[in-house]
Amino acid sequence: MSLYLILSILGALVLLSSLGRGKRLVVPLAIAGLLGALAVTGMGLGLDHPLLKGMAEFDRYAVLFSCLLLVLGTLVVLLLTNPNERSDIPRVEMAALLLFSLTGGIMMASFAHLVMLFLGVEILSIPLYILAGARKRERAGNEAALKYFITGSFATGFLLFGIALIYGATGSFSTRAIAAWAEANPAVFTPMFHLGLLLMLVGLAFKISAAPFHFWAPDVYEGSPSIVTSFMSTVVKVAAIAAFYRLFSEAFPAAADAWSWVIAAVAALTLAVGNLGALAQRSFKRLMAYSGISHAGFLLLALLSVGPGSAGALWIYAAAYSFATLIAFVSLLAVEAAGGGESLEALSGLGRRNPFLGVCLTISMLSLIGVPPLAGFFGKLFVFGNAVSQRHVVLVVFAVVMSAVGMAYYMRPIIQTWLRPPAGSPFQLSTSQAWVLGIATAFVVLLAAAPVWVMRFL
Amino acid sequence: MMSSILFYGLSTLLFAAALLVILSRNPIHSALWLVTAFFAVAGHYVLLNAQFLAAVHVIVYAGAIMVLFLFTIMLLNLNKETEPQHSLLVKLAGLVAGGMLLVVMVGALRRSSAETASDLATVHSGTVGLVETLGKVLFRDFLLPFELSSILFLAALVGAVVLGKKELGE
Amino acid sequence: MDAYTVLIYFLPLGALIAGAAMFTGNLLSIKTKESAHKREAYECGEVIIGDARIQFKVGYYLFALLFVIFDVESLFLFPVARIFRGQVASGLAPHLLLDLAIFVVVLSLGLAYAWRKGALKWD
Repeated sequence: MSLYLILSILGALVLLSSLGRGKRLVVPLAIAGLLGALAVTGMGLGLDHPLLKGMAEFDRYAVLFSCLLLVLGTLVVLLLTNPNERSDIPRVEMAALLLFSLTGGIMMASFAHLVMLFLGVEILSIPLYILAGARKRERAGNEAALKYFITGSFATGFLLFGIALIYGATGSFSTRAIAAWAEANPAVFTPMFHLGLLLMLVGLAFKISAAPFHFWAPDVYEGSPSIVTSFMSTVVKVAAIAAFYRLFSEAFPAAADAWSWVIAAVAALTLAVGNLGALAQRSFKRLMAYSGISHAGFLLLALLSVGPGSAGALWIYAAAYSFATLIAFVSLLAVEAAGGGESLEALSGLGRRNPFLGVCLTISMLSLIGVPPLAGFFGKLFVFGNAVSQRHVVLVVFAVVMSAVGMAYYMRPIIQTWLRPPAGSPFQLSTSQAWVLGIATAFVVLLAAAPVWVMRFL
Repeated sequence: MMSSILFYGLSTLLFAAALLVILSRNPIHSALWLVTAFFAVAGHYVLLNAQFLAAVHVIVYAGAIMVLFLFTIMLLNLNKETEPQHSLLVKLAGLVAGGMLLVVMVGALRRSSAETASDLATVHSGTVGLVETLGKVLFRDFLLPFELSSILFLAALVGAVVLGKKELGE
Repeated sequence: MDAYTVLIYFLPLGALIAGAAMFTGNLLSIKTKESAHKREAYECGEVIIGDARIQFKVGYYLFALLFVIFDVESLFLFPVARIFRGQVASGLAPHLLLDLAIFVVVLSLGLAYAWRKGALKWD
């Protein structure tokens, strides 16, 4: 409860400051508020409240994912201090919309009632539809906003229809009551219930950009300002997979026979589309979009093997993926600010132009490949381990092959960074970029120490 | 007896209007048929004794949302000539995809007989849809989503202003 | 269903009256041939300058969107008005009022924002 309250009030305050003269204070205010929210969450202060009764539940899963979302949100908001980004939406409004969106993300990580899930998805998405079109004088920006809005609202329609059918079949919106119903009717194939389940699955698969519902991702990522893209590919992806896992592990575990093969098929397709699609990309931003799709496939693998330890594996994977992705986007922002474009060639000689950035980017790419002892390796280790223990061996073998394909395209930025002649003169990072890079890289390296703790906590 | 006559009448109207929405060449006609469809749905809500939903449907959907639709059509200056012509392949793909969803849904809902549907779904004569019940539930069980939905409205409002307003500047 | 019986009578009645009026009008009017003269504006009416289907300003849309948002808000207030009297008796009224106040204040903030940013100004 306190978390929703803090974030909503913070968003409103930031918005209010756009009316007065306090514009310079906006980012510090937002950062302070987010850190406060993080502290409150970490200490578990007032998270539970009678008002939440049956609507949301801040269990350990929700707390851990909320913390991850808050850290990622803070880092993205910190990036807002850089003035170079091309965007027609003022920074204050951007900060406010990002905070609102984050509120939705937290709702998705903590819901216990399908109304809260739906509302969370909407509060997460609506500000992003707006932000995706921030470059409103560019065709690519308009295309991004329109594509994101239309496919996104279509997906929301599927989700809503699914919720309606589930309600019709079970008579409840509460995940616990739905799970109880599914347990009481295990053998019965109830068309309304299973169709609802399938439609909700489609809606959420859209949100995590899993194939075959991934079409929007590359174009939307490309047309949005990089800072918004970094938010989409980290906070949104984490919130969506958190909601996906929470829904299926809490409401539908008894119906696993009906959905696990669907998820398996979607995961396999996503892995193939993401990794093979990434090979063909020449733009770094699009490459990261396909990388995001392929990691959605790996995350679905964690969802497939719901059981003891799978939530921890999911968290570690999501954290490793999102911090590494954030580094990639900060690099892109820095290179863009230094006059480079979004192509892979713009990264050439980055190691000599700015060694710190080069090292961070290399660590990020290595972690995305899954090289030990970086965080990405542990993410893959736990996810694959869980999946094998649930007898999804064929799928895991396929995922390992696809990771090997991933190596081919994640090596390309590294090669550009170190083995190609510099594309320009050396440049400095802004203070906030350096901070974000440092923190995110620290997480990518140090998360390797966290798995045991996370596994025990969840 | 009376209600089943009304049910079939409204359903026929709804189907006809919905078909005309997608078959009309002129976008404005589509929008007006959509209003008819909304009224038919509102009628169905009344049959289910959900008065508040019926009122909401007429006021918000047939009223406000339709105004938005018409403004969008006029803003984009859509008319018969500018309607995009899709290739046969796209039409066929759409038909197949939509048709498959239809088959699945008809197949699924056909088998959901009265005993599998929960008792909550039967609101015909109940008091579930009454304004008073809704008010009580909204402010007892659904208070949190209700308050949070104001954040959604706020975000939408800000978005409309930042995207719609010409020169905002920092 | 009894409460709706009136409605059932009224709907066809309304349609009948509207239809009858148009029918009688058609019956009584004198038909003239279609001509350029007939298409002209009557008496002091404005001379037609072009098609009415022109591209509208985005400003209309902004107003329409604000209207929708406050339309929905007012709808949410309706159930409260219906139950308020009952809640006064049970002492929950201040609580209810506070809940509503939060909702309205958040939306007023949006209105203040739109106002301050000049979204309500017609230019």
